[in-house]
Amino acid sequence: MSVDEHTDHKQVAKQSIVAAIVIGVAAFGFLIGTSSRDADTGHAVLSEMAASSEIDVRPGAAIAAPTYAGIRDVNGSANAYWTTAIPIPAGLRTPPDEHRANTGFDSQLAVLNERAELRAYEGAPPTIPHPIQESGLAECVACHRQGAEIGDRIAPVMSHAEYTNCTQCHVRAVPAHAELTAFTLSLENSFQGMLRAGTSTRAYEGAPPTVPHAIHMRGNCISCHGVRSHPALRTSHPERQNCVQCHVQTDISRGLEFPSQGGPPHRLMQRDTR
Amino acid sequence: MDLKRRTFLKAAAMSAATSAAAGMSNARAQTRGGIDDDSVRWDKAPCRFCGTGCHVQVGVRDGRVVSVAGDQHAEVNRGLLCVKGYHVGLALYGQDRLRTPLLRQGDELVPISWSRALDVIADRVELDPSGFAFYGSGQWTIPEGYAAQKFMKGGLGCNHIDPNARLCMASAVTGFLATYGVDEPAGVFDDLDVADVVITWGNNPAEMHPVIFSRLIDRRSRGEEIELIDIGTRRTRTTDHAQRYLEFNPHSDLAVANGIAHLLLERGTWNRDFVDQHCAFRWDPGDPTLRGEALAFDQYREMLREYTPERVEEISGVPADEIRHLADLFGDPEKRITSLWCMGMNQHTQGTAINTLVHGVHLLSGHFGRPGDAPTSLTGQPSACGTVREVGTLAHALPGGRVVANAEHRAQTEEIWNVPEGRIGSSPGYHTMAMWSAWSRPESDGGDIHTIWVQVTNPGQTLPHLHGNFDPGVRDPNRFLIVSDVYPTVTTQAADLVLPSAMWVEKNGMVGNSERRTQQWFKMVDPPGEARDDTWQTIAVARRLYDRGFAGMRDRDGNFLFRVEDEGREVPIWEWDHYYDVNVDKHLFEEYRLFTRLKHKDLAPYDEYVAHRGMRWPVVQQEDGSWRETRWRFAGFDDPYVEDGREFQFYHSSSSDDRAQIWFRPYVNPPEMPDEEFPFWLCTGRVVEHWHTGTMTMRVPQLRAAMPNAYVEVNRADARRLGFTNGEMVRVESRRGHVDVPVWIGGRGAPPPGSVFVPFFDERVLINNVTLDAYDPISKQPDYKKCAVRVVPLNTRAAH
Repeated sequence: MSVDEHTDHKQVAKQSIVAAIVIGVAAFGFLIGTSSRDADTGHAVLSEMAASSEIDVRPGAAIAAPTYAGIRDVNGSANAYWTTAIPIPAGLRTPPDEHRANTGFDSQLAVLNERAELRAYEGAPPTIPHPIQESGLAECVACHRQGAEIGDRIAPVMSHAEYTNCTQCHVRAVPAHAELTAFTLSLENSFQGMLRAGTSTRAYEGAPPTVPHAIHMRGNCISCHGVRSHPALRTSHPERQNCVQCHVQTDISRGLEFPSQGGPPHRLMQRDTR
Repeated sequence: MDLKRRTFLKAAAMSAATSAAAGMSNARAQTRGGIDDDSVRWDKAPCRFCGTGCHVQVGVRDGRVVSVAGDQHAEVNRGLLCVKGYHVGLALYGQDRLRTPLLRQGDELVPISWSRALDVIADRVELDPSGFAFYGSGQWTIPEGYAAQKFMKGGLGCNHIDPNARLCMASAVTGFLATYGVDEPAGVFDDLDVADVVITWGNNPAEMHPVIFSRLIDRRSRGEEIELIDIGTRRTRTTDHAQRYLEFNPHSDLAVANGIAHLLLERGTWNRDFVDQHCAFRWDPGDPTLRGEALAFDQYREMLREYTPERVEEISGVPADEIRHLADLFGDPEKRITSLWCMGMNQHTQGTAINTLVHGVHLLSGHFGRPGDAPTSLTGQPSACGTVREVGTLAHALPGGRVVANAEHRAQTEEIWNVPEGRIGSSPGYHTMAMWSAWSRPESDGGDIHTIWVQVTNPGQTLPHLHGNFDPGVRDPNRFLIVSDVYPTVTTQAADLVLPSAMWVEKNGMVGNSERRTQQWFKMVDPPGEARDDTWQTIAVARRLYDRGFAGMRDRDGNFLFRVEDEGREVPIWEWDHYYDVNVDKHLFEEYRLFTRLKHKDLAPYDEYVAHRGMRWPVVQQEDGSWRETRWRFAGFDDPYVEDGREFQFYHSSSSDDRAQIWFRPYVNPPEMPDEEFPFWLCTGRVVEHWHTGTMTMRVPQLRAAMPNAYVEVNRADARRLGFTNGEMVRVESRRGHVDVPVWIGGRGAPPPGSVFVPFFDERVLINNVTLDAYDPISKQPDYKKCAVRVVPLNTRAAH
């Protein structure tokens, strides 16, 4: 199954409904997208999963709620109260700790700094690091609707596709034509922008971390946290689509820290330093 | 007030009065995600830039702006901004901010004290108050404009005060006055949420009013159908979103509007009921005037008879079938049609005419006053409406829609200002074009303005035909120029005295946007160095004159004209250290508010605006004590000033019978057209990245990087014919002057063959050396959109 198919919520929802009707089972959330023809094989996969699960799935038994950290080990298994026809492709089943193992503090810092280079401050619209056509509508969405791969770069998926006048907010990071810069003007600006929105927190070890930034205009989480985003920002459980079910917005009034010289905030990504 | 807030205020060193007002506000607590912490404090402010009036949330830490976010609670922008708005906070921090007053000594500007600066200005006033002029701005806050207005007309008894908005929306004003008898749009931005058809007349909102434009076109993302018709002289980013692009020969929009009216009458698809009940007809048999003469319907029909679709095509180049399509739309009562326009129709030597014609098409077809049916003019500046049109900072006007020529209006104003009877002169002062002409001409040639004080604008870059109206080289050496600004500009370079100003959230402010929305914000950070509020500057000069015994700065009781009392004691607001002891904005606004009832532009008390993200006037108090804003003016279902039971009432009708005027105005040729010697049309304008002359936005790295310099857009066919390549330097030259500028082919906009476009934001490419200073006879607004130029390759020139 192509990852592209996961990127469209509408598509996912539609497919989920089809699947649910076909097998006659209510599939609540957690769907990764499939089609009816997968239903049969899905059963087989899930049986295997159930067999390997440590959770007691006997009818009538109380189900121990997995911790957030442990939920990856459960692998979305079926039990007597909840079944699903949706197979989880092996490629997406990242071993639980791989995500964190790969992305330490330095890696996250690097990607956040890279992000910051195209932004005046955390929350500012990024500037465009490549040439664009100065008019016309199609060229932005051609790559940014689905997140096209071009060479070793990935065009981030738009997180607010409902806005269609892209160049209203996003402007070139370098001028349209180098030869047009016929005049020199070098003026400095001492603005120091907020480098990050806030600190992600957890209620307890294993609890889902809160979203440290505003969700407005960034409602499509996979735009930055999807399977093809930078590993440092990538979700460890891409099969889960309803992100805000578990991750709520931090009260971003707290823990805002600003370095005096524009360097990276020292308490970045607190969860990794624990 | 809780301890936390108190601690913050102490740290921010804000004044007691301001903070008391801050504590009152409910809206202020409603910040993004309920942020109110010790390190970043968020507060609301309207964006510094255009007339859309988006609200932003400003994040401040340690006395500096560190972040900006679209305000999700704001009705105008609903959380969205444009690229200028997102970067507005950076505009405060260019390293070359003006920090101290500067006085010219020979070729140099040398730092002086504020006290010395005030004396210099007082000297210039005392030289001859009647030759002292104030040139202001649609970027003045309401209190700034009100203070300047009172200083000039109430203090100096001199009416030579006019704003840059003369160059920007004067024809929109005369269009509204000629049609409805009272200024400003009847509709609101809400029309764009429900309109079926939107017509942009010489207007590029995709770049100039991006948030309004998105509010419209993003409806398509929700599956809604909108027909967008772009009537223009050049393809723009707005055209990209339009189903139809009607390219007209410059100036021939007059014919297009007449063509629609003609077909409505010929086909009988005009709205008889609406016209019979609510409209009358008018024309100018002789010289152009604001009032004209009444015209019978049959005469009106007869005058339009020549504007057949074929004849209109001949004049305008717009295919006859497109004119028929427009008439189809206007002839369909089910459609909701909104027209948008801005500089294309206003910067037009027939600006008043085309404004009235577009209103006329809406009235004739009855596409008026229902949500979605509106002729709506957009303003380019954040307070062209609030400060210029409402406070009346124009040479002929007084606050609240009054005029100096009306004895009753003068008496009312003198009463509120408590100045002696006869203080206000009855003759209009110089409008912008006349003011700069009288300043730049020698005394022997009738030049009788010895000093101009400029605030919040950059005429050295924006006046048309700069060589004739501004150049230091041509002006009389005895002329004196005072400029209050935040950065060095072409104008400060020519100034004799430069005053450093506070900007945006470095001061308290109020502005009024394009939809009659009055907005308020509080000071959040301190200005750099010795920069100070423009209002303070005006009041401090007034006080210096008062202290020197200048009679005009005393009211009837001998008190200072700008006396502010706190608990019965006068607060010395003319001393900077005490300026924020009270909220001067609030004092000025509450006084100004007394003026706003006459023309039913009622404003609410100051504190209401603290608690809201703007309110649209008339704001009328309800029986329960609450204040209600008005969205659709003149419409019985919403406007409280329409008499009960009436569907519409134009209650300020110039014919005093509650009717709006539908004008006939003929197509006439523009004053200058391309010829053999100067074969191209030149159009000038703006780009999305830059605010007007780039004084602020060219200091924002992201905006400057995206659009670092001006260019000339040339049509590909013309470029091929003339052998121009992209980036090649060419000279754009008119009868008045030239600029050297790189060519951009296939760029952002696409002018038709025979037409070029140059933006005006770049101070190194003063395109207004080239433009024409002919102006509309009624509004006195010049035309920056058309004159005749030639485009010459520079290497060819060098060879000669």
